[in-house]
Amino acid sequence: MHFNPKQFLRNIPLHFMILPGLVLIIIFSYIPMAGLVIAFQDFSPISGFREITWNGLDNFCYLFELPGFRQVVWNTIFISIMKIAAGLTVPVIAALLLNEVRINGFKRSIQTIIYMPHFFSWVILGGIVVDVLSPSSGIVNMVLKSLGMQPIQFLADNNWFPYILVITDQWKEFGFGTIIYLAALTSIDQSLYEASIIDGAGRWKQTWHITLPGIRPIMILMLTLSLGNVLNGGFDQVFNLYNPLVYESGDILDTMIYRIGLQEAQYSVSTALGLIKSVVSFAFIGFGYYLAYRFAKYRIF
Amino acid sequence: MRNKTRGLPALATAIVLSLVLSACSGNNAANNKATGDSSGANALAETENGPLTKYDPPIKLRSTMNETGKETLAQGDTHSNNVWTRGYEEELGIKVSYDWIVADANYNDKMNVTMASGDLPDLLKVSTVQFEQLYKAGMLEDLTEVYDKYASDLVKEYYSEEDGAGLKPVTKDDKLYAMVSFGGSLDSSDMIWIRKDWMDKLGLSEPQSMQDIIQIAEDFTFKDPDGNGKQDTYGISLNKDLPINAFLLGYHGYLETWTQNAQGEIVNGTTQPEVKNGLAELQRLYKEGVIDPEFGVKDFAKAMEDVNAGKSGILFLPQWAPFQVKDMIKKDKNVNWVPYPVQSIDDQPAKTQNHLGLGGVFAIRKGYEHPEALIKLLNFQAEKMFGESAKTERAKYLNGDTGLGFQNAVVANLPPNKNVKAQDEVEIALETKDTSKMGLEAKLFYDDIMAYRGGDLDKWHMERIFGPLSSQSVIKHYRDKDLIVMNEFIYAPTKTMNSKQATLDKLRAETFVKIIYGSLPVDDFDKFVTNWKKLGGDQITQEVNEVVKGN
Repeated sequence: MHFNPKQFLRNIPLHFMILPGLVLIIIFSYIPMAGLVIAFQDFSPISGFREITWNGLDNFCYLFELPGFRQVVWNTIFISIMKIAAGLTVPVIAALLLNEVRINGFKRSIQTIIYMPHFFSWVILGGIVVDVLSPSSGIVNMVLKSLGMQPIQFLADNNWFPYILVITDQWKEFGFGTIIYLAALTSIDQSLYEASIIDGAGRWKQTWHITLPGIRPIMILMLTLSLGNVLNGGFDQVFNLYNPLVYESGDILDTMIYRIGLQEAQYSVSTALGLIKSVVSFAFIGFGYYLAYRFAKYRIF
Repeated sequence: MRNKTRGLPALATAIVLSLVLSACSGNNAANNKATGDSSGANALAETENGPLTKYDPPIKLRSTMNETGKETLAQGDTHSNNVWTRGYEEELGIKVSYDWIVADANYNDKMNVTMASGDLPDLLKVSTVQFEQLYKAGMLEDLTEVYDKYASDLVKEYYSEEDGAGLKPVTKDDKLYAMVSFGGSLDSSDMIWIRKDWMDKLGLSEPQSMQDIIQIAEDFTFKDPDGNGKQDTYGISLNKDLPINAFLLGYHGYLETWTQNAQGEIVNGTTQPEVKNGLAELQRLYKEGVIDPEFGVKDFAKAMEDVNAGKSGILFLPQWAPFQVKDMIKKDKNVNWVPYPVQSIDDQPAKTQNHLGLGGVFAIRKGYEHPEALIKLLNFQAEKMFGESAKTERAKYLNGDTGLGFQNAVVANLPPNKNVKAQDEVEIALETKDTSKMGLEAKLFYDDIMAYRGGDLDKWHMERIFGPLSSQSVIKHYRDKDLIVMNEFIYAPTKTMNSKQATLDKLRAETFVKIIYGSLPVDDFDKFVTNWKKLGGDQITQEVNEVVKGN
């Protein structure tokens, strides 16, 4: 990791290859940041940046005074944290189970089936979810009814809705997440298993002492990456599934930005909201990197 | 040395990239310059000033375009070069060019960006909100004189409909700052669509009152109208966007409308006590099972799937409803959706609530040398589609007689309330079999209906929109019997509307759906009204009163 001038000079052509990427990032990610100033202005698209009326923190105050704003923040955090937790456990378990399957054809077909939903958009999946969870004709409620229970309006009940979001999100994504862990599993040194068998370790002990520690760095990496998304409840999903009955538990920052910013054209307010999101997310990413460094010695610099 | 040459491609890529990027902005600047120069030189050239006189030498006009679908264009044509743009150049001497052409859905956003950039096209096609911003910034040309002087009789006739309401939103201090695409208000009328075949099967007679509608809805639910021996149908089709206007009108609740009360104040229909009565009845019907118990999670498309699967028998939709169910008829020609006017729960007649439909606002950038060009373009479009030349040239300009090719015209305005007039002509022609006095469009509708009657089930919707028993005949009934309540607020959203309407709409949707579901008592409507007022409703009402009385 030491800076080596000689090596650097030798690799100058390689460094040039980064240039287009850097230029793109500067143009499309850094220059637009200047636009964040409209969060502190009374921005009107017509006068644009030529006539600027600063209004300090008014837009932020307006946001905090909106009825239900706290609820929306709480919903967002609650839903994302559950999603992150599920996203860390479900794919790992699925990967471990798949890893135990010895018949290759069976393993492959399972894998294909479970990662298929990843490729569908929420517009399509939303329709499927509504059908599957329908109280009168959906398969879930048919099972409940055959067990003698009352049908449940999963998508119209505030007690259920956040959990349905987490479950359906996992349904869509866990197969794809599994691929990463399966790849990580193949990189574990097989001789460790052979040694442990000689020491008399069973399947369970092997999993606990070799496999899980083996994929720990990847798990930490995935956690780090997902922490940056802690304020993204998943706009597509919520937007396609929610309805007035579950605004209370399902409205998240992104859907709020959409309603306020795009439908009502309040650019300043939605920028302010986006800025809050970014700042909080940045803090979470920092925290994530700290965790990654602390527990997995993972560092980017 | 070798290393250096290997680095070159990367360097070259970077340079090319930056060139391309700078070229984008450079190009624009060059364009502007060119336009400015040429239009200045032409100011003197114009001699005669008729509605359709040709500019010689030709002038240039920059505008923008929303792309509504390639199928409206003739083979090989593009949005920037088609029968309209060629017509403008050949017959009017106006070279129309588009600064940008984007998909319809992105048009508004792109226009916001363009307005912010300060580089405005000569002809601005904007929304009412954007018009208001441009007007306030003093960036629009006064069109009062050029309209008087240049507008053709046809165009003037269109804008005089409904007491000239179409131009009111764009008139400020008696000065006209824009033209509009004004479709009239009649097509926005609410009505009730009922499965007539189910009514016949159950021996029900035509609804005369709200009580009848409720009775029909209940019978559709409990008396097995589809005859499959199962109770699997619902009386009323709803979805999560709550299309309940036609229902509430029976209780004289005008949900979407600003109306004048006895004291002469403008009040919002949403918060009036009549709405509460209607909600109470909907709650009762929901409890009974007359409304799909899952409507709260279904969007419009999902709810229409159920309707098309024969699950419900009453629809609250405006005049275009037949398009949504036309495939049902192709599968089973006994299916018969028939529109009825809204019905009343008491001895007061029920009325529809209508809105002024502005399809777009067309303004001229301040400083453009030929503001009259806008008027001429409108004259031209009216002439080619509805004037004398329509007889020979309509098909060419529309890419087929019934085509939607007018969307490719740089500015377009269809005759307001043309549909109900066409229905008049169609009905007479169907009786007398005399088609000689029909207008061009009415004749096409008539032909479609004759085709349907001859067995072409593809044309059923034309029968239900323009035939004797059709949505336009319901609209005619409203018009002739004076059963229309007009929305008094026809202007751009007020300041507080801009910042609070989203919150208020959310509050309303949440409360109303919950009341119908029965998870909130009906009396929570009063709490909703209090909250609505507190959260900005009172301020909006005050602003609306100021605007309406000031105009």
